[in-house]
Amino acid sequence: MHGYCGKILRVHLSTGDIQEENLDPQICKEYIGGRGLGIYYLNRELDPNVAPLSEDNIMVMATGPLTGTGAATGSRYMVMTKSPLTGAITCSNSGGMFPTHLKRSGLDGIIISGKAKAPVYLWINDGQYELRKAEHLWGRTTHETTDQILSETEAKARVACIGPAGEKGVLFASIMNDKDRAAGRSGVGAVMGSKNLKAIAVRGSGKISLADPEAFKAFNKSILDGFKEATRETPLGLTVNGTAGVVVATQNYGCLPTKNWQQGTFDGWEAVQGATLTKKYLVNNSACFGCPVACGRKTRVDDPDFHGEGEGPEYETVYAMGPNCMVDNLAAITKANYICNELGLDTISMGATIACAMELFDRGYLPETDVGQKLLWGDGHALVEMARKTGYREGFGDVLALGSYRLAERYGHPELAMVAKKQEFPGYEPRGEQAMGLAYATSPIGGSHMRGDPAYFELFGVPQQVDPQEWEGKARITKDFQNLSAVIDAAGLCIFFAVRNLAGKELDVPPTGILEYLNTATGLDYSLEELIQASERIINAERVFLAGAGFSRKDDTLPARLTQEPMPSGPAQGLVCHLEEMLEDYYRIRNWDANGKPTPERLRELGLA
Amino acid sequence: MHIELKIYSHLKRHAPQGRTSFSLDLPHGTSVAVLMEHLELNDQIQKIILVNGRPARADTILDEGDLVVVFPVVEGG
Repeated sequence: MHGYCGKILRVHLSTGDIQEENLDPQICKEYIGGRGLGIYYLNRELDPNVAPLSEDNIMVMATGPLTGTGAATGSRYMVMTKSPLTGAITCSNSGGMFPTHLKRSGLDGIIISGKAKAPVYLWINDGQYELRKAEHLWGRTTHETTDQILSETEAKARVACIGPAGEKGVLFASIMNDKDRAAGRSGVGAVMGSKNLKAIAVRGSGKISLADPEAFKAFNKSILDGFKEATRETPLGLTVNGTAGVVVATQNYGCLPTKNWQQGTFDGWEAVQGATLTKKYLVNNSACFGCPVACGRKTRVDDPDFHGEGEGPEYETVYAMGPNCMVDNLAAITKANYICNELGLDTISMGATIACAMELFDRGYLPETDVGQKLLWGDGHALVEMARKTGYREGFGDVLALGSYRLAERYGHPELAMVAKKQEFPGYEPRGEQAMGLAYATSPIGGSHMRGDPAYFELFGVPQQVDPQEWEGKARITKDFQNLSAVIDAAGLCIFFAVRNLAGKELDVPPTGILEYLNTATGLDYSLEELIQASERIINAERVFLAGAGFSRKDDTLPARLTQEPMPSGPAQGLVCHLEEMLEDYYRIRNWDANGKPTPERLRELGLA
Repeated sequence: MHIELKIYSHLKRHAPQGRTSFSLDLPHGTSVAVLMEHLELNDQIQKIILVNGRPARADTILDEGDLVVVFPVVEGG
């Protein structure tokens, strides 16, 4: 096979057995890889009603056919399992160097099952596999764990691991790779922890066979040259200020979620925006493998109260821990980000859960005696302390570890949890950005923008600007962007590059550039229609899993705050999100029934029934 | 006709004295395209233009008291 290694690794932790297994080329063509392979195996091997933190859950880590090939931003892998936070699937995606090493070690992915009797880590060294004891690593941070494993294996190896949060079952624990890259969302770290698997270290130095290396290289060069040309005079905002540059957009559109989503603008936004981060704390940019953008931020904070060094914050972290908690102290936000990276916590869910707790406290529903301190809007010290306590499940951190939905429910006000399918939202306000509301409600992982990112056409003008406040016509564009994201996620690419550079300029964003990459890399000879069909297959297969787990239209929802309470101020003043209207259109366009379930006819067309 | 403007990041160099916030008096019926020409923000400079918080087109006609916000292209998140 070309593009693929043609092999996955089965790791049975209960018995310690490790076996290689061949990939079926037909399945590769139908599901592409990455996210597609993940849902293929979950549907085939996992009871959708399995208890997520039981040893019966499985975890699929899958690269795509472009991962590690040198294709621009071909650096990604996907972690898929049943989420302890949502009960739905996870699609936790990460870049850096680990995924490339995994692929170059000769594996397209790993399927982990069972539970080790005591903590272990998996060491993959170019086709040799070993489970090693990890008791000495249990309780250690992700950075300490990485350094220790590198000293025990190979300095050039790459490590993906969990921190204390994953060990202790924090429902939004992440898996960190290369120290500061995160498969962040939906609690994949807790699943790994429940299996007593502390880390995976991998050294991969092989080459990936390409079907038509000359054509692949020529196309890759044309893409990279085009990027260089487009950014020659004015560097890309993403390169200059990182993703936190987005604050200027969301604030001025009135879509910057503030005070646990009670407002869409934040008076202190200039103190926390990307340009301020660049000026005050940026040490240098960092790039994932094969990426010409380098949006990563290596930062250092010298403020004695929040001293530290690491990576971040990204836009989502800034929103969740900044405006959403009314914190305008960028040093505090950055410090809380470092703590999340080191303890293995998703920064979005962490920040949003603290914001929810602050609103419960503000309204008198959450007593100070339960928290052990005051929890006031804008308190950067409380933000940092709550993140630390959550990672170790100390004191009130043991409750925050359950996420905002369970927190708000415990204190009698579930309506104050800003979630879809119990997962906290990223930083885009659907009242001022209608399609984003539909994307949140229909994402297979709950509150997420990354499974079809409407911010591109609603806020960033890519490929064309569409009025964010209009809801009519949004279902179709959202569906097309979701399809594009499925191709990106399955191929092993990064959405931040691919939407602008590897899709058509029409609003239905045909994945033309990805098609060229895939065909020259794999030789699978996709037509554009077949590739789009594969993306639909992935999305419908995910929906089949969700239906089996009991999800339906009743779960494709947003909190009443967003659909019934008009935005009080700012450019989106007076608006609500028209989810129900968009959802009607969306189900019809997807050929799903009124309850949000794919019709038997649609499943047959896609070979899923 | 009185217009409020905010120009962010490196595009500020197109504002009077490089200020972020300022106002302009323009003839009635001025379009966004004419305003951009006035500020020497030509089409080659990639940017997002909002009028009262909504995306503007080149032919959007400005009204008394409008708030025009201009910032460089951002993405990601």
